[in-house]
Amino acid sequence: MSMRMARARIRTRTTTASAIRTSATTTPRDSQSFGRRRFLVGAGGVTLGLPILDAFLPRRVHAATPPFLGIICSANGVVQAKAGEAEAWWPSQLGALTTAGMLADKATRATGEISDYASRLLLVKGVGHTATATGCNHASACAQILTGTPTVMGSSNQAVSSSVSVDTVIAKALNAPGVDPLFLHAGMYPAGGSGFNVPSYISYIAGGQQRPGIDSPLKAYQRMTGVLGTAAGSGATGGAADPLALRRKSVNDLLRAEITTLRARPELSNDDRARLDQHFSTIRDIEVKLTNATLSAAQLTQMTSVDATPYALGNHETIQTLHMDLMVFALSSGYTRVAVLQVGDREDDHIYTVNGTSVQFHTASHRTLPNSYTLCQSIDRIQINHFKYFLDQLSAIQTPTGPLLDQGVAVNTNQLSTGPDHGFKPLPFLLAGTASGFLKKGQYIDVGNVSTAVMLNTLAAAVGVNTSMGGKSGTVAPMLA
Amino acid sequence: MLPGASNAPVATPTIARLSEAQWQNSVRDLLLLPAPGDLTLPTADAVVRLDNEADSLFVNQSLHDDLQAAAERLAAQVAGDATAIARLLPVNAPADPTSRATAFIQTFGRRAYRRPLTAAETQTYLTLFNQGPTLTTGLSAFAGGVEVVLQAFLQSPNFLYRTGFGGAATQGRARLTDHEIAANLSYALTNSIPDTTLSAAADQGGLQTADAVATHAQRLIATAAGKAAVDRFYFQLFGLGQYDTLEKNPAVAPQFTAAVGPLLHTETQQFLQYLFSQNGTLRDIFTSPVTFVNSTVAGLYGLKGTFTPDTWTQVQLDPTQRAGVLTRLGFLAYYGHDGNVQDSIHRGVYINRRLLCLDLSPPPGIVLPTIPSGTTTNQTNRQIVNAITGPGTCGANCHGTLINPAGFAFESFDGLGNFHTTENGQPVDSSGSYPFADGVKSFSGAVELSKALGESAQLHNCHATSWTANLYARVPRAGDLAAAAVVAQRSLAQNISSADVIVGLLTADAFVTRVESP
Repeated sequence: MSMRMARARIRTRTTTASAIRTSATTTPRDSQSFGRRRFLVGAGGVTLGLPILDAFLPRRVHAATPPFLGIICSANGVVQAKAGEAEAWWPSQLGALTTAGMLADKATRATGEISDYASRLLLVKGVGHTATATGCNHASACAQILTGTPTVMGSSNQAVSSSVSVDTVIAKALNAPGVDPLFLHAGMYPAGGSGFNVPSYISYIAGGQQRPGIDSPLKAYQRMTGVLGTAAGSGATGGAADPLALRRKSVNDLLRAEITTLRARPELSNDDRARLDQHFSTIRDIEVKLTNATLSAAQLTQMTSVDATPYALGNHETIQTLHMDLMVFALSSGYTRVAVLQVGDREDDHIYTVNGTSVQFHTASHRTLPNSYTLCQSIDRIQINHFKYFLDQLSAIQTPTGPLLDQGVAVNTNQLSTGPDHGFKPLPFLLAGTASGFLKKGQYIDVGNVSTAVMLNTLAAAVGVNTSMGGKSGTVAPMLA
Repeated sequence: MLPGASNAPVATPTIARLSEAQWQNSVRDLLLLPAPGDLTLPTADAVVRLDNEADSLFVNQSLHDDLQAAAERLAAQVAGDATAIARLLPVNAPADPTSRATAFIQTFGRRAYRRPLTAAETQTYLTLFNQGPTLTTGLSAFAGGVEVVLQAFLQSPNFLYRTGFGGAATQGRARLTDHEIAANLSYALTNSIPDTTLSAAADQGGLQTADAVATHAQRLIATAAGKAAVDRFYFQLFGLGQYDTLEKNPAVAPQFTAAVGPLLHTETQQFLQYLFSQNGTLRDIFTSPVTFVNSTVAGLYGLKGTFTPDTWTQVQLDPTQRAGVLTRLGFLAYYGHDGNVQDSIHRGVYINRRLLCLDLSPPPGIVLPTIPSGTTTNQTNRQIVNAITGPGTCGANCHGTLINPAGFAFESFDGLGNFHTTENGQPVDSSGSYPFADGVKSFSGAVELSKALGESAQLHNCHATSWTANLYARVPRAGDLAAAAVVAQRSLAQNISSADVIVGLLTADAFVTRVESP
């Protein structure tokens, strides 16, 4: 099926969703990824040897990469025209984007920082969350930005989404079995219960169940390459008769039987039964890890240096760029087709240094510091330049059909539209890459009044996944090429 | 009510996954290894409130992989060490291979499952044990069997989940079994598997009365593990871990080196431990002038005397300035801006949300007035914050009546926790009034607000509810809240100790009852 036919199929498909249910189907475009993988037999079962790609040897040509989605999502909103404040983010004119035009805007608009990519950008205004706040707009927005859910569970800063996030949907549809979406976190707070002040993650495994973001780039890398999550007991010789593989198979059989028995208890609630179902689904006899792609020694050294202190103020921006390196590594190597970086927590409490002044971003976003408006503009620019770094890395990798960036979609967005009012609309959506021509480029468009869910459907469609996030079907037609 | 708690009839969880800390402690206590190696699970849980709440604990893919790796690593460690295997065998274990394997499975399984294994379960594990020689290499047949069954036990859902099925339900309610009560009690108070005494009581059916539960609760609270569990609750309630990474602008506060944050954590922890050990009450937490200092912390308080870096000395702070946990350097400096200016708003938010269980509304949907540059040179922090968010502004509803009054009570402490009386040449004003649920109370500053908190039914209710969430390991349901209300009333009216608050909650029917969905 051609790309055009695939897109037409996505456009015309309607999905019936009762309550909040997210379904996903894949188009044939994803099949090429599996055809390129090598299956190897290794310790603990079958090792999925991912394609030999020189992901981190920029400008070397390797095989064409299937469409991917990379999302960078910040918090606290950006400086937009609202309630008396002058516009400082969106370009001054709708329509075609040019480097010259964006450069002309650069003095007053943060998006001017990325003028080099004007011809490859798609800026989409008019997208917003639909669920009302439940006591804390930060938590509510955090729950909606990747799920598009119309129903937020809980209240105050403990609000959570009632449905799955788009990265999970895409990963289930396109990744090898057992490979989660790469979900990275550059925030101030760790997971694990440090006392209510928890991060609140934007990625959801299921309704009510956040996916903990990986804070340490090194640990994320180790997870991909099998250093974490695998162990060798007696045996572990490799090969089909590896004693560890055989032992793991026998143990897994016992565990599955135990979960099945437990699940049959009539006392279980539906929630508890679902909890066991998910646990059951994680037990697999195939181990997936990257076996033939590595990061550079310099990158690993840098990752090691920040491994123990990912929350330190001084490491915050380094962590972001290292996470972006990992995203490029994971996407280009085919380990995953979707990667997300959450910058900040449900709010971003990071203290940025702007022209020598220390600025607690969240406080400034409320405009409760002197010169808050100006300081937040500067922080917006810092974040857009981080996104530019991501684009630079994606652009540096060549495939037979052009730079890697053009094969997929890179998204820069925010949980909130604006800081002072914790606004839900318009969310800043800055896209680059067209997913091989699926999306428009070189445009700044206003789509009017579109829900976050439909925007997420469109991003999923770009990588070949037909879904109805938060129970809403359809895509944003003006975004499609 | 604790945000997230519900008065609506919601079923209690019938399975509750062990938290990471519970898993670590349990594995340590099960395997009896002198040096079990790194038990850290790289995949942390995305909990919403406390680290043990069943509602937020799942097994996702990466956690499964971590648990599998840990099980394989630990099983191999035991199987490769005859002494380690011997520790896990019952005394006088039979020599016959099958009988010996059965004894190993039943003994270890009893502790891992926190109940006796059924005959079918024993047989399943025995079958797996007997595959040891073919599934392992380089080990004796028995050691191979040990490795493979340990690998399974440590990943078993019967180990990873506590259950709360109970007996047959009557009118939607069922009392938990003795073994379930023992497990819940043990995890509530020691964060680990039941000890020998509690296990024996469960085997004998001796946990079906409140008196029996109280006896074991009082015993367990006094153990080292019990004290650690209390520490863990306070660590989370007061966010003490956040002090560890406290950073201040060195140009403004050179004395706040990276070493200070952990020291302030230790100070508050020792203060809370001391009160608990003295049968302290909730009031004491908010009114006591006692604290513990080493030379660095003493210097930060400006205390005179001889102190050393490595010795923590009990001291009395000036009771006219500092009373209770909210006047300790950790809280005051954590809720301070990067420089030395206090963060009144977040001090107030913390008190409202965490201590009084208020669900604050979102900010108004309009842009707040911006602070003009330069105003800080002749205004106090309170004047600046009030100008933007106080009475008569768009932020009046929450900030003017709830957040700011609570935060402003601590205006006498700057962002480093130092006591001061003037700011920018202006006198500091820390007076105010707060609309507690049981009435408006006025205060002149931090000491009086802390005292008012201690006399507030709202604080006692919120605190008991937070303890309930921690001890019951779930978002409190309607029955849980009712139990908390009873204990809160005793805490307020009878000034019972924190330990008695715990025992009161654990002897409530809600703790030992499964409630079905209506």
